[in-house]
Amino acid sequence: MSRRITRRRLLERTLRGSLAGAGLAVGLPYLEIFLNENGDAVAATGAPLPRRFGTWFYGCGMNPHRWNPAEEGAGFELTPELMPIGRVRQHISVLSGFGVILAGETNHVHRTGVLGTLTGGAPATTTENDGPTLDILISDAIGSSTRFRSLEMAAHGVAKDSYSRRNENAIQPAEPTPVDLYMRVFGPGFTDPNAGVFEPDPRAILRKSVLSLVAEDRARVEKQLGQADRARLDEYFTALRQLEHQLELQLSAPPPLEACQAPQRPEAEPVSQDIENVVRNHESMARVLALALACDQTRVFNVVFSAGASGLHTAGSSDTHHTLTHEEAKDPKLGYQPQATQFVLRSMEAWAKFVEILASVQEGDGTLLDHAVVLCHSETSDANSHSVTGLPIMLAGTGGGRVRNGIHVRGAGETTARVGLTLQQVMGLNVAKWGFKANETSRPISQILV
Amino acid sequence: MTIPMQRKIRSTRAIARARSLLLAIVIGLGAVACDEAGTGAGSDPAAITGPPARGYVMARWYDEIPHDDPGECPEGLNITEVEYFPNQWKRYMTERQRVREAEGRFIRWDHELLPPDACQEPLSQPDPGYLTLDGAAEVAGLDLDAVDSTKEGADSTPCAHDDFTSPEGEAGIDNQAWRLMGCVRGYRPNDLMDRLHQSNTMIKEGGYAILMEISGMDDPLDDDAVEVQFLSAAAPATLDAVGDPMENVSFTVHPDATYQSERARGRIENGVLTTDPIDLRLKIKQQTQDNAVYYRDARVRAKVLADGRIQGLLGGYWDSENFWSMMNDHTIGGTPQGRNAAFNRGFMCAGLYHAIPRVADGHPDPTTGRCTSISMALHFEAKPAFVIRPRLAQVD
Repeated sequence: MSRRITRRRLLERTLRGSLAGAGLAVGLPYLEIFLNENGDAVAATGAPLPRRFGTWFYGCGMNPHRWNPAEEGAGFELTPELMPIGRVRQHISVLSGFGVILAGETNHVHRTGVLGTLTGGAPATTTENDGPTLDILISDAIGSSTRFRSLEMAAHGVAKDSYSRRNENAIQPAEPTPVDLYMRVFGPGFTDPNAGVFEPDPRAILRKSVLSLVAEDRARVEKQLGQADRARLDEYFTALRQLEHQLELQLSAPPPLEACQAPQRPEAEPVSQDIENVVRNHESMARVLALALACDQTRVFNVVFSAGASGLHTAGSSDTHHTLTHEEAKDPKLGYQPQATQFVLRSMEAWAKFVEILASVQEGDGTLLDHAVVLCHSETSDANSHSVTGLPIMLAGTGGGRVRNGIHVRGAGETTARVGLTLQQVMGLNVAKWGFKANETSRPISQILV
Repeated sequence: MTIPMQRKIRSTRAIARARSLLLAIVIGLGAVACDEAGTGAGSDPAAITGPPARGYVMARWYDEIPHDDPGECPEGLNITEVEYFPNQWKRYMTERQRVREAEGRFIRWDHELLPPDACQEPLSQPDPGYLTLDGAAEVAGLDLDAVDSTKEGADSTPCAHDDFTSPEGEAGIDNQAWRLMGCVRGYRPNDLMDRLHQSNTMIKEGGYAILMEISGMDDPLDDDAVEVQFLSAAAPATLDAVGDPMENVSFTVHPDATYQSERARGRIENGVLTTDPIDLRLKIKQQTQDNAVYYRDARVRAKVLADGRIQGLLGGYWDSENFWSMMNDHTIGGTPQGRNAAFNRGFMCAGLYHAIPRVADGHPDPTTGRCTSISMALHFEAKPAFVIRPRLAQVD
């Protein structure tokens, strides 16, 4: 018969188990048992539900005349390239017209726009960037109490394409596949030094399910939960198991079929910037991340859907998104590059999916997204001219009720450092000004603050 | 001239005289207060004679791209290496993608899978041919040689060319740069270069502001003797809160005298400034380029506006070697990007290289008779600014 789990253990919100001598930990979401009556604070400490911060990056911008909304404020009409966010627009605010002010610095193409936004100023060279990125500043402030200071992931499969960096020599590499991300979050946390070399097989863990490895702890916790919490926990574990099943399928060879030729054995975790592959990986990664955030494994994350100078392409084509932005002729009737623009739309769809996934996780009095704020951005507006003015920026989530969603704010040529300053203040950092040289600012974007 | 126009001109002249007087007082006071002052003329402040020089900073600066299209480029637009060497480029782009996805890095543009890089070594590829924009068109510019030329004229030379007509109907317009680039995709209306012009990238992203100084201007509407000089500043244009170039800002002149032109003689008639030809070099630094443009026998025809701005054309001859350099001298982190720039814009370096002497129409080489420069025109808008020339310390 399982013993009751102690209250102290329960408040760790972690199920423990082991696999061949290696410790395993599975975090628990914020169940009602952990929260106060209002569902907006941790009962034991009175601390509010943690706020999360993330960045979501995609490459090669958009067509400004088709992306920027005309009206400011709430209820703005969605433009053609914002149509994909229609179903989640209530969770998103659009910021147009903010850019990186160069003031004599060179526009290092496909670099200045992203690092300028994340560090508060135009980088001086192609190999150095000034200061840590925004997520590092925030994770330094709030990331020490979680298992991971931050989590980085690259849906397009290139681990080096991470914009999270303390300096040019300290770049946080991204997990390049959903399985890598899953293993990082749910795989063995440590190994017994006496157990010899241990190589965890992702397939074994996925097949067996990490949940089965913490079954005893799980049973003990469930005994102490109310009905609503049991239902919530069941939902969480179901989502985790479904994800494991999906990932296991991606790793498994298909079953033999009499009527067809034996398919090639898939290589483990192929990396490809085929847009369909990237979209699939992105969704899986978003689901792993949502679970990791819900279980407070981290409070800061960085997602790269496609890198600057986006290498996304359609299957079998060597024409990448980036190449098309420079080579494809503008359709005289449409007024834009049709093939290149398809990648913009797919990127916006992926962003909407990401927001939807975070918004689907119930947490306390709201959802995971309600307790987060996510910065969506790109390294350029018009990719053809490498413009760093009027960069596409969106914020999703209310950051614990601090950020207004559903509005459009027009920046009129101002620095993206205002966005970074605002986000730091939302996340509770004591920052009065941010940015450097011509981008230094002490003005947060008050229109989006509650 | 109507009475309201007479009143407007008198009023404008009165304002101009008042501004001259005010400026002289300010500069005089400044000269007394400071040892090293930007007097504009660099001369003893106590001995200023005549009106002080007026400085300007370029707020707009862009090549002419006409927007009418009367059946231009009937043979289509120029192709890039990607279309000319399709098999090699397909293999290269496949390998580029593979390496990018497997190793997270980019392979170089001078990779062995590609033909030799003609942007670096123009004779490493044979001449693939090049489409120029032929025939009549309305193109802004100046009649640089005072002749309404035709290719088949009586005194046809290796530099013979057909002139354009301006949008105002003026014949004899020399703009062979448009003949050369008019059938290149990136130079067509509403494509890359046009978009860069519309977003004023040259000024807003440029590393060095472009300055103009007019000396001896008693009357901004009528003056038969002024001098005009073009200079590079040591810093970029100052932009306001919404990103537009500001006026009445001080700019220090670039210390390298290469980027200070001679003073061109000029005159202002009914508010239109014209100058005699001068050579000028200006620093151009933006995105992947850090170079200097070299225009020969360049001259101005521009309007002096009531609010003090000057708006008009700079026409001249773009030195052919410098033209070639500006077209493909692009780098990212020290790595040549000329080939990348060429197919972004829509031409082949090998084709362009061989086409340049075919369209050149200025400065014939005394030995070969072939022309070594290409007529061009660009639009500019200049806003009032202060041009500062610090005196350099004496070194014994």
